[in-house]
Amino acid sequence: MKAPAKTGQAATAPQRSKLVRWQGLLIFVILAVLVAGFWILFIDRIAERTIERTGTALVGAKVELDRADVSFSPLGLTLLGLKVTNPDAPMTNAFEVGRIAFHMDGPNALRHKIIIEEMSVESVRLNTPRQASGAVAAATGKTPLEQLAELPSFVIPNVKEVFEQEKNGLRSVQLLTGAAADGLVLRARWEARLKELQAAADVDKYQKQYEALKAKTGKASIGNLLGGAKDVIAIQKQVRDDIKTVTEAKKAFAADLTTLKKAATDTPAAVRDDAQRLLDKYALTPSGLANMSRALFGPKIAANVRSALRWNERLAPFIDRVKEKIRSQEVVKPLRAKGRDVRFREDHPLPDFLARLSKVSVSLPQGDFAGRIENMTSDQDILGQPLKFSFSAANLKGLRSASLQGTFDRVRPDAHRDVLNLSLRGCAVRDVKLVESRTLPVSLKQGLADLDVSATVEKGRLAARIVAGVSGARLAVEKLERRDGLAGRVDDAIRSALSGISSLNLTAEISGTPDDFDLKVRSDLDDVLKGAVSALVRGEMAGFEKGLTDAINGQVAAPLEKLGLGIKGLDTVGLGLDGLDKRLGDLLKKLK
Amino acid sequence: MIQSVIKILKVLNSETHPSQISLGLCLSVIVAFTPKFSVHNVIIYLLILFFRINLSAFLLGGFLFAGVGYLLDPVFHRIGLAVLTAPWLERIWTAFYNATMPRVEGFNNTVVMGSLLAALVLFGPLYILFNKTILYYRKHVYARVQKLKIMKAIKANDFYQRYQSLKDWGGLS
Repeated sequence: MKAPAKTGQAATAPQRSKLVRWQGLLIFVILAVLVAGFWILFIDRIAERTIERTGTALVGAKVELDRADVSFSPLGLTLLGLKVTNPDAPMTNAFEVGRIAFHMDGPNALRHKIIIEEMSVESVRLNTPRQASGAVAAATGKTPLEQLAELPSFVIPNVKEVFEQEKNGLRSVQLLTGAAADGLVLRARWEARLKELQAAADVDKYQKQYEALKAKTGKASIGNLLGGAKDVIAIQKQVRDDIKTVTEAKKAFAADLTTLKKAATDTPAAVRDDAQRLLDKYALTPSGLANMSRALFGPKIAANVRSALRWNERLAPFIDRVKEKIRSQEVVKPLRAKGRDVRFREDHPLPDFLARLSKVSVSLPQGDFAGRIENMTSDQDILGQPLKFSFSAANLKGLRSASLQGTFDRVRPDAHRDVLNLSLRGCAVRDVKLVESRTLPVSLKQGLADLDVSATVEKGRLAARIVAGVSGARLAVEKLERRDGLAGRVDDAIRSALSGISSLNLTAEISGTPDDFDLKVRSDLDDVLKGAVSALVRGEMAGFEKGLTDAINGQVAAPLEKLGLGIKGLDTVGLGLDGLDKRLGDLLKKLK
Repeated sequence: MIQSVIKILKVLNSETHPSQISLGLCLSVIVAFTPKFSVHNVIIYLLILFFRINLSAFLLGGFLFAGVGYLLDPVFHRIGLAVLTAPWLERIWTAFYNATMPRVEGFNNTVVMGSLLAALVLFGPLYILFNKTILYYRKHVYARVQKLKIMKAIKANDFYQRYQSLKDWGGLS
């Protein structure tokens, strides 16, 4: 195909290599320089975009960065103006950081390991307003707990509606239905057993055998006398065995009968318990009033707990990567790259990311304070040390002292333990919304608060305790919406009672799993509110209670009747057993 | 699409040796399947430019096979995971894991390992296949293609004339 080269040209032109092209080397060098130049020019922007994109994906709301500055000698990164949107409040930044700066270990960075000895995190500000929404995902709805903890309606519920809704869960009905069914089964079983016993211990047969022996031994011969005594002893033994069997059967029968009778006698108490439970649930009873703190403050506390748990979840990839074992090799998901990274035993094990010490300075409206975070890594199992943080402040404006300490321990995968302790002393609070409700919006206009929070998430279980005390309190209860009837009168009574309060103490205990936790709230407000409201509702509640009790009694009537039939049948069996026992006893006496 | 067809025809019809074109295509498979800026790809860029491997075929192949590589990522992940977790290879991988260069390459990533391995395994068969296809084309199809109107139009194209002059410079063939 190739045209032969002209002889003259071949003689004069320099010999061209068929294998290599030296100009290519030059082009490669030029291209490499161009790529390196492009990279150096744009690396800051690339780093900025990468952090924003990855951060947004992890937080679930916009993460923005004013500038990123990558330095090559020494290898390091400086981030300026980091803003992380609060996903629960998209018009607010959960936090802003003025400057983050650190140097990395170069050789380890080549091995895809970011090892930072000291990181400086400056000018952290919390809950700063945003100019534009930072939402990227739809907000979630209320949890069942929050719905339950909504303010009571103070409206007398309709007995029929409540009963229809709850009748399947009534413990008294369940107890009696079960007992009635058991009664029928036991009746049939004991009737069959009685027949068996009567057939086995046939008193008439024994009587006939005895009569026949007596007639036989009437002829006075030594053989007859001896043989007769032996036969009588045999009958005696048989009768004794039968008596023993019947006695045992009577014992078992008595136990069964007692259980059934107990179910019948317990019925009124079970009905009362059910009625009381429904009253507590649906109406404002004295015991329901005792839980007013939960109704008032529960939603706010639950929302804060949920928010804290969501942050814990969002931070999880930074402190504990998802690791799986495939054929004894540890496999991890890289933060950005595709596929999975397989890990092998290292001569000098190091985490993929480690910031040994982060010095953090926080700027609050009350003043500046500092803290430190140790061992920030997603591979605590490799490092062998948990993440620890501690912040403390004293004599700030409107805050006498503050301390925040905690540990995220993921060293052992089977023993995860996160601990957080927060303590605030002498915190001046002003215009804090405690209850956000249309009918009873309660806000703390001013007060001096002490707050202690201790929370632990261990092996998937949450346990937290919040103790708050406010002195010099001035509570304000507004009236955005007026309710009619009893509800309106109760609202007024609560409003009046809360207005006179100058100090309050509150304890909240949270337990359960992060997805489904239980909240118990106690406060000295409970007694105040109970006193203010109970007289108002007592009279109207009495009618509701009676109606509810009647409805439950109506529901238990049928199983109670069925149970009565079962017991009656068993009583007949009992008489049969007694009769058999007596006849066998009389026969034995005769045989002696 | 038409541009791609024209490029293919130009390369196939050129007087470049089939092995140069096949090598360009096979190396493009490696680059297209694996992460673009990995160490082995930088070496391939150097090889492509330094040795007389057909650059047009390489660029064209890279463009065509990149999509295939993207679609095959889940397959590469499976291959890579199987190879990296094979007990009998553990000692080799452990040694690699403790060395710097393989870590820079990111060999322990399942997609990197799977795609590189797949590309290397396919390299030989594809080289032979491409070579035979080009030879067949030149022997049986070339003459007919030359007579096609589209080919005449390509040859009359200004871009083609400049390509021919560059080819003689030695940078592109």
